Amino acid sequence: MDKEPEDLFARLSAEGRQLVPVSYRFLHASPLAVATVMRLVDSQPYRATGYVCSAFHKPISKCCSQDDV
Amino acid sequence: MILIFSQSAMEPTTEEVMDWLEALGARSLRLNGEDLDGGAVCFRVDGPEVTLHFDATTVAGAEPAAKTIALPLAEVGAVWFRRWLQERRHEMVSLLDGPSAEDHQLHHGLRRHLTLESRKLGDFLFSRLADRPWLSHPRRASLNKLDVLIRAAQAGFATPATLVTTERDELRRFCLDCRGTAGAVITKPIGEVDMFIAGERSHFIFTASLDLEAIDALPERFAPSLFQERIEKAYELRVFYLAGELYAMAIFSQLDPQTRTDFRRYSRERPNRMVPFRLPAETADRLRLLMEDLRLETGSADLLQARDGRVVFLEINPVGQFGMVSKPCNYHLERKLAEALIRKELDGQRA
Amino acid sequence: MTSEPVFALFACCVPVKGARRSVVCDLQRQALHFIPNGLYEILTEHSGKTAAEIKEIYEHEVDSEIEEYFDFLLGHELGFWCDDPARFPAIDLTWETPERITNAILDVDERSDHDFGKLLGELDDLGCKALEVRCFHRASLDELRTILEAARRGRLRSIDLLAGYAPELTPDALATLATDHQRLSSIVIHSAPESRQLPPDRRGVAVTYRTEAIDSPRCCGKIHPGYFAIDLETFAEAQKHNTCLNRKLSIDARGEIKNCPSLAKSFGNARDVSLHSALAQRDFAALWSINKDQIAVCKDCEFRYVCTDCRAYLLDPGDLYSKPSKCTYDPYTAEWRQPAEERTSAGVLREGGSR
Repeated sequence: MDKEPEDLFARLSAEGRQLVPVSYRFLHASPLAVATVMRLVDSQPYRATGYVCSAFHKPISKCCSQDDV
Repeated sequence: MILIFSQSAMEPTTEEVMDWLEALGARSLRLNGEDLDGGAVCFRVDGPEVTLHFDATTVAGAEPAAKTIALPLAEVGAVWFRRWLQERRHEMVSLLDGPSAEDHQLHHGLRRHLTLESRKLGDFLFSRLADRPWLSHPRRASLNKLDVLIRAAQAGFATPATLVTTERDELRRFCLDCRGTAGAVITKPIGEVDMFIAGERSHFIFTASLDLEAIDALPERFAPSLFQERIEKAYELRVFYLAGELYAMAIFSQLDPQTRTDFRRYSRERPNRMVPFRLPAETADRLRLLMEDLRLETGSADLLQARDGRVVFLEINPVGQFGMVSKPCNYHLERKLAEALIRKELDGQRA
Repeated sequence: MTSEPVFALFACCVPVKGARRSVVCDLQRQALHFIPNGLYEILTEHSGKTAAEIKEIYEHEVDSEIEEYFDFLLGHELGFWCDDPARFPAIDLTWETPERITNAILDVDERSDHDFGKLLGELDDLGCKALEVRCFHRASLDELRTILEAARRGRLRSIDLLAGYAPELTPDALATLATDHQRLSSIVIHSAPESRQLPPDRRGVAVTYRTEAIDSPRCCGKIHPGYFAIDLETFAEAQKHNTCLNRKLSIDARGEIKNCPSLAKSFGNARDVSLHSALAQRDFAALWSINKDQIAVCKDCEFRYVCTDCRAYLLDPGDLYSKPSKCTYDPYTAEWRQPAEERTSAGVLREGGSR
């Protein structure tokens, strides 16, 4: 599905290549999904639309038996 | 009242500092860059008085019946400039419809003016508050890397040999000259690192390594690019500076070949080791001198401990993430920053 | 600066001594590594000495073991050869947090009559960031949605949901629930016809179906490695606090405000009394500072700073400092006992349980 060359530099025109610094030849590409796997919510007290949610650092209750908790 | 300039998403550190401000009994309000970019804030200018109006439904502690909260700028006792606006909406969307949609020149002209408008509004706010204590004022927060490198050298730091050039042959000579690097240099942006999104991929500008072979593959001339000697490091240092105090962390990234050049290229399976570090006295003194020279109240400095024993200065980020130093080292910087803001507000009131 | 390098553990790798064996807690990568007590001694009493010096101290009787130890530690990246140990201090283990309450349990059964909006609003005022909702009964999707809606714009960053099986709680229905409520961190469906663990979605939300019936607070208090929390925040908290009850507030299925629903003592009913005023009562926080170093048997256990304690179900219900009854580990033999063994004297901490 991704018909674009992975390398962004390869997509630049001849003029484009002349105009960008050397570091553009060594861009590090990664799937966009990796960068945006996040749970974000609104939070009223802080006027934030991207309030980051993640699991609490320790268990809150301990009701489940060992096996695959 | 402590005013915090931030952005509206992914700011756990900002939220934590606000939690501390609340726990310590201070009042704070947060204004996000996006609020001025099609959001819900308005300014009332009545003669010499400026009042900011916030939408009350988005602020804790507001009276249920109130629709907006009015904050006369005169009530702002201290300001924390955390972040502002990464991208403006008008830079992201297509502004034109119909036959002229492909008109790049028109698009560019429109965007340039809109960006200027947006910046001017922000500048207005910053200049109205310029006489309050800030952590740190954005005028000081826009540093030039090359300029900082020179000031660091003036402060007594060892700095990497640096070249900015358009000529491949110059680069080749530079590479051969660099001592002890087995013929390799690094390249990085003159300004900020950035990311480009293309379809399903993101492309980051990271510090990259070039050997002679890579240099020979370049065209004879290219756009002005920054190169530095590649220094073999034992570990990197990230130091957070706040009101005269330094909080240092060592990063061991040599363990993982993938991260050897730039530790932000994060390895999920085996994250780099990040541990507290005690700076040598002379490094600490030089850093304080440099921060004072740059008139920064806060900022993060990147240095490295070279294998040959030297401490080498790399760069300063005036409004960087300090969470990544605070959490692994348990330095409680979020609380310290809240306390610094409260102190600033009190000092400002006494003055 | 020494001329010869010495071995140094990374500050985030903390050794903890147990009666029979020790452990290095890698707080950064969240892993435990067992080590013999002899290595513990080397890493603590003899830290800062060179390998040659250490071999000398043990009269060259364990030279190859010493080399193996360091290879082991290096192999797991727990330490490094350090030229300048004075530059690498130990990590500060003080713990502090701005929230008055960091985590809460809310129990619900078929007779419950909670005003979720009011409760979640009050938890918000206390700064609470993490909530576990335990529905002991077969909860309807609507009921779960109602509870989650009440958290919409608040400060919660994590909601763990436990609910009894109902046919409408299909994997798809739960996946939709998780997408609609980004605060959900995990969903456990108990009393399910068969056990099933769905792979965590892209956002890391885990959905699990368990056949075991978790139908009352009496199911809680289980101690096993699946519940170990190996991270800096918990480790630091564990130095001086009870890692289960510290800054925890619970509301049981009848609305009683407690430290935990399994404890007898109530500080009022949420219908009549605000969470804030319950918290303000002098003995609300009485159990918060009972850490593992004060608890019988646990004080000698190598897991004591990563294990979340239970003060409700104790081997000796009359003794506040008794070992949790549901822990089957014996640090004196370094063995986990079979859980089926009867311990008839075990029970719930009696109100007024003495020191």
